[in-house]
Amino acid sequence: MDIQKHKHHRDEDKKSSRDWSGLPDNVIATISDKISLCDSLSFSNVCKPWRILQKETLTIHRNPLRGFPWLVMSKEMGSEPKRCFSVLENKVWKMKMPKADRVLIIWGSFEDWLVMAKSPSDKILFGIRISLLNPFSGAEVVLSKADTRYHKLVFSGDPNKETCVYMAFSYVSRAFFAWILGAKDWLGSYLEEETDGLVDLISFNGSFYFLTKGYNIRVVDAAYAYSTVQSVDFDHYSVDHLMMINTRFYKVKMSPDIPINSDLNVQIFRYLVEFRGEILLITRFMRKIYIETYDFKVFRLDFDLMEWVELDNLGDFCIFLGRNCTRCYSTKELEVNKGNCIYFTNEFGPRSWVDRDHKLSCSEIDDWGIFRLNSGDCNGNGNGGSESFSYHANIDRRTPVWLTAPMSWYLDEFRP
Amino acid sequence: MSTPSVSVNRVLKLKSSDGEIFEVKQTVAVQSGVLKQMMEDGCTEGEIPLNNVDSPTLAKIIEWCNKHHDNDVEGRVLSEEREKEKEKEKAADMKKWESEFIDALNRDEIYFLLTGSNYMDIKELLDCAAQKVADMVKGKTPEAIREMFNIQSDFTEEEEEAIRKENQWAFD
Repeated sequence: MDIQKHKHHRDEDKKSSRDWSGLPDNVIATISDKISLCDSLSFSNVCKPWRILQKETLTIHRNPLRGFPWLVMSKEMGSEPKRCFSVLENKVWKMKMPKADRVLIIWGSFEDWLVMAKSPSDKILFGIRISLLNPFSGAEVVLSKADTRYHKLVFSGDPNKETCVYMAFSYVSRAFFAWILGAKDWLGSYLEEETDGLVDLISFNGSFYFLTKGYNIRVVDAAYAYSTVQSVDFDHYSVDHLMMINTRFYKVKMSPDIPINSDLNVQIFRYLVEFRGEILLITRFMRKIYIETYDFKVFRLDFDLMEWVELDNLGDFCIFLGRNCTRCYSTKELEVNKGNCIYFTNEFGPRSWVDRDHKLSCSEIDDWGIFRLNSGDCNGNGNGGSESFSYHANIDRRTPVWLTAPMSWYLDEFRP
Repeated sequence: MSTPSVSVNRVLKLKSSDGEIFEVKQTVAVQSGVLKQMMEDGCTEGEIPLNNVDSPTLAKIIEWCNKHHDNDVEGRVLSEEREKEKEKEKAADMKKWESEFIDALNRDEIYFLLTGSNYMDIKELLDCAAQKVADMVKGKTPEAIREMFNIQSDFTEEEEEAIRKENQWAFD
């Protein structure tokens, strides 16, 4: 009995006699600024004033979008809701898709937007229909019929804004394609045959940055791309008076230790990433025979020296790396002890066609892993915490897509 | 910024909500946005009533400000490199002092420190106390946070049910 009494007393002692729900707004805002995403969810469910205040703060500071990283399981659209795995919450969400009758696959994402494409099984042989869907707001943008060769689609800004430029590129044909709202078609631009092929593309500081196979950079300003597409009369457009978007080419020095080509044994995947106002290049190495990813390397683009400088850690940051969508978070935003990590998705083949290969089955919620820089240690799901890092790919499954579920959506209403 | 009325030796008389008088050097008091404004406006004669801050809290706040003031002014004659090193050391010491300061407080004291530093507009102290609260809620459920801070839920039955369901989505 004594023990219980003592315990009771201690609990009393821990409790506050003040009603904290009445704290001034400014104080609550200061606190909510300092808590991680997961905690801010609990925080918002404490009482109404706290919830309302958090929502207000979020709408004021929308940039950058604060939200949870989700993995969307990509497969042909059926009538059933899409499964999404919220990595930090360790929760599965089911996403109801509007217009579920159409055969669409999820192809990529941008913040809280999904890039969807009509599957090639859908009888249109010489083109695909790309549309953008914001599953949280319900907004949709339908793009002009696109080429099936498009490998990746990137936007210069908010897809809802008129000035947004949509840029796609083709891995196999050294070509890239720009589109703006209202344009009848995509404007294709082609690099000369003997130049380096394109391997990745990101939008950064109002420009598009292409990575070439030889680790060089090509840059296109979004405003210039916009005005070029705008000036084209697609009704009277012919190859004879070809309008083209020109790129600025920058030769970037790369350590000779990093191979340019994948060989018989090793496949190299390359990703450009925006990281705190800089451009990173992440290389991923996979042993082909075991389809095992065994290493990542991270480089920072030094604009002054025009050189890729290897980074040995990401500090208090981690990167959610995906083929068509990548995002960087601070550990403060997530939670402690998870910095310096790359969260990656299941990926195995050459990129061009795999995306739309409808023979692949749906991705599963364990189709991702974690790589910690320079510790050689891994928490890859399903891979255990072995000393030497390796991630075994699932070759019969599609790559899941990262999507940001905005915090404001979580606070919008109570999810049934 | 010109603050002709601020001199090293002059003190302000702060009166807490329970009537106790605290004397604080002007050079220390400038850390409070509110007091700084009053000094600039030249209206710091006599006792300055702080109606929202009780004496134990005001004592704590002054302890904080004194510590941070001391840290600012001491030792400025070192070589540049040595100074940098010293700065680093000092910053680490200060961090340690801050966490000991804040960890020694119970919940009520933290509550009053939050409202007091907010009222007196002492940003660093508010940040420090808010960080403490952020650490306290880490990994806690809404129920546990309510319990900890003596908050009655004002959600309706249905909303509560929705929150519970939301938490049940967890996947193992």
